[in-house]
Amino acid sequence: MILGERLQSKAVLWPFEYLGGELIKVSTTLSRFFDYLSEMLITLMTPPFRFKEFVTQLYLIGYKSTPVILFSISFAATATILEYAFHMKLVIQTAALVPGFAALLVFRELGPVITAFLLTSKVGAGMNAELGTMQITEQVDALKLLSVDPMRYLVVPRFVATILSSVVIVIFADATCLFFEMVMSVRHLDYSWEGFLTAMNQFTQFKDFYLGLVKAAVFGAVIPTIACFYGFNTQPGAEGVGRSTTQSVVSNAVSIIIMDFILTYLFSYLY
Amino acid sequence: MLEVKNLTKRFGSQEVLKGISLAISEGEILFVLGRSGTGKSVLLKNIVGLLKPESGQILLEGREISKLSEEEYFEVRKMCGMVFQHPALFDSLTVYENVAFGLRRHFPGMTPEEVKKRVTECLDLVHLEGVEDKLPPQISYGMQKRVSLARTIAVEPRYLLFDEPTTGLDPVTTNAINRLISELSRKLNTTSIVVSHDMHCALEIADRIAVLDQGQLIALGTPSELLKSQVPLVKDFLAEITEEDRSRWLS
Amino acid sequence: MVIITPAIRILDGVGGGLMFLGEIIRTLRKYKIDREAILTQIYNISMASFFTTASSGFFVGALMSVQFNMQLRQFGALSVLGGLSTSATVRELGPLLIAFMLSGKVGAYTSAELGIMRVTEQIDAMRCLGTNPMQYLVAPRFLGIIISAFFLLFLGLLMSILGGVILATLVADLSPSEFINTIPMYVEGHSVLSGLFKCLCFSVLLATVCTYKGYTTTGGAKGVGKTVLATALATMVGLVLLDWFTTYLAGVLLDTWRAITI
Repeated sequence: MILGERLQSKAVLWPFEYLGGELIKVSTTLSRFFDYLSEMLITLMTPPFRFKEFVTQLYLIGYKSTPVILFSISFAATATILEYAFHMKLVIQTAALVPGFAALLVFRELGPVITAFLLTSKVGAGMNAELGTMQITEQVDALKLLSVDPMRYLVVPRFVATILSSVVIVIFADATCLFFEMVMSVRHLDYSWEGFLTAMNQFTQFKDFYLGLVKAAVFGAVIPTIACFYGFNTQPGAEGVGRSTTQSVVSNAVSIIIMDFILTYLFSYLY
Repeated sequence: MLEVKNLTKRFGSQEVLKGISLAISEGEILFVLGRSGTGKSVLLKNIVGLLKPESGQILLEGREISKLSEEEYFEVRKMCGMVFQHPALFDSLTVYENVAFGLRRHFPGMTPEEVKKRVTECLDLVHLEGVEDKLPPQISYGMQKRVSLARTIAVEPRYLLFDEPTTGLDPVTTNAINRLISELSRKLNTTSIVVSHDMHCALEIADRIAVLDQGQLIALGTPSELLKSQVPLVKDFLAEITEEDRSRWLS
Repeated sequence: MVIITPAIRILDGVGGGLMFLGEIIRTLRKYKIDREAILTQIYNISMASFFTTASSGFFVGALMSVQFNMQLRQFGALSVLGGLSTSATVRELGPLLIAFMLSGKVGAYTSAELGIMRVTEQIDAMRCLGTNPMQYLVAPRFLGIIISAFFLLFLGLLMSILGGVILATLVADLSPSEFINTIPMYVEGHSVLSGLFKCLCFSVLLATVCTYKGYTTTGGAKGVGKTVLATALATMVGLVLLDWFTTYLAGVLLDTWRAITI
């Protein structure tokens, strides 16, 4: 059968041809990505600014995705505190320190990272599909003919709006997570409401909160940049949109994890 | 003999077919014309069981088939081949595998040599040679449509349903496909139902023509009967036919 | 009305998905699934997600070493770093991570693939040629995603231990053997079981959502785009909810287990 043959030939050629092919693909994509990135940053710095577009995007990205993110993150928060309590009992045989550590985790990791993941699928994928459809239906070319710079008109407003939205949503997400963790601590770990807040106060500093927001801003910058890049590079056809969305979601997820690691590593000198 | 009796089909609140009755006899070519969105394709999909009608009967050689389960439809689909509006070729399989696909399912006892012979035969029938090992995206749209036709006729169905077989094709391929439809009926005594927009082709090869409008049958008759029809929509369809052609078909 | 309409739509989606899952299970029990088709799917899925899973696993392990290092240092409990971060990966982060990676790569791709087959009438053509698309298309993909998920979980786990070891050596001055020796102390049988259980739940969710959404696509090329977006969002939210649910369930099961053994 034909599928079998193809499977075999791929498997035989695997190590060298596959790796080499991947390497070439990755390096060409990267070089195009940096071209695009530099162009975007230059457009970002130079006037005129599309203020109206920016406000529209802010509404679409910030307002429209806040409910679903806060809804999901409340469940993530409860799951985390259960897991955390489990591990704390393993290590120090007591759940006494759970609120403090959980709050730290919310500010430093959970809030920004889970929000970024949810933004990737809610906003990033949508942005990518929108631009991809515009690209393959030649709307982007039409914009150029009307002497509108797609970079200025489409990408920059989304870029700025996502950064701002991400920061604001993370503030709300932090609050939501803390609230649900408080509820869980009171119900399952025999804390009083005041006790939770006191324990939290001992462990967290204001620094934890705003460094988390710095993370959020960085993730907010990564998501639209990658989504729009893949959107502009969509190949024609229905398959093209699907494929570019896939690529953008995966690249975003991996970039967020890597950026998170880098930032955590850098911040570990500041805490 | 394929009979459709009082067929209705609804999508939500929208009634797409409002009581269609039709009878197609052995070896006949029936063209179903009508504007876009009047339920022509829905009619075909009901016959092969891709959609289930709300009420009404479909009789294939006297047997009621509209209530059959998916497994029982297997036999019906072996008798009724359908050619889709899109080529609908399987992207991951070569042209050869595409044509052989139905053969392997419907005739599990066939040897590989017999399959190969039959596939070559069918591809010859649609005038395609040397494309067996290509993948569908590598050949032109017209060729894909012809492969799709070959795939359907490979299992030798006695009834052939065509969903706009010539839409989006160049005139030369259009003619070739129309010739093929009429050849199949004449040589193999295949019964064909062709859904189309093209009055020209219909007058050329149809035995009878049905016109659908908003889910209802508004005209049914032989080409010469239809040319004399006074129904407004039929006259609109006939508007592009020149006097010269008209007299040729009438005689 | 503002809340009711979306709520009905969500319930409709959930119900449709569950019915589709039932249909898949019926197909799996009733028909024989071509083994080669499943193997091809496993190969494609694993290959497609190999690098992303490996790299993200590595960085998650590294991240946890850095993060736990800061917290454990205060208690002088650095020696448990290895066990703790591996336990977290096995129980919670690993399955979730694999599910996220798969949902981006395979979920979106599978739903787009099936969606394209649907809108170009390939699925109808398949039915006309006497083949059950559930058996030939959906079931191999469904099984392929679930089986690959376990393979990728193992890979992600190894990479996260590797990342953890490297960063622990760099920032916490732990030797690799110190790191690895504590793993068996903290990773117990029930942790592994609960991790595997989660992985199973997540992959079933993912496989169901993407095949369901893809299989029921309507509305041409635009419909395919919509399907992919809906899949991405539904799997993301579904995963978070299911994570909460399975953690809760695992906790309850664990308590019962303990009560029985004691």
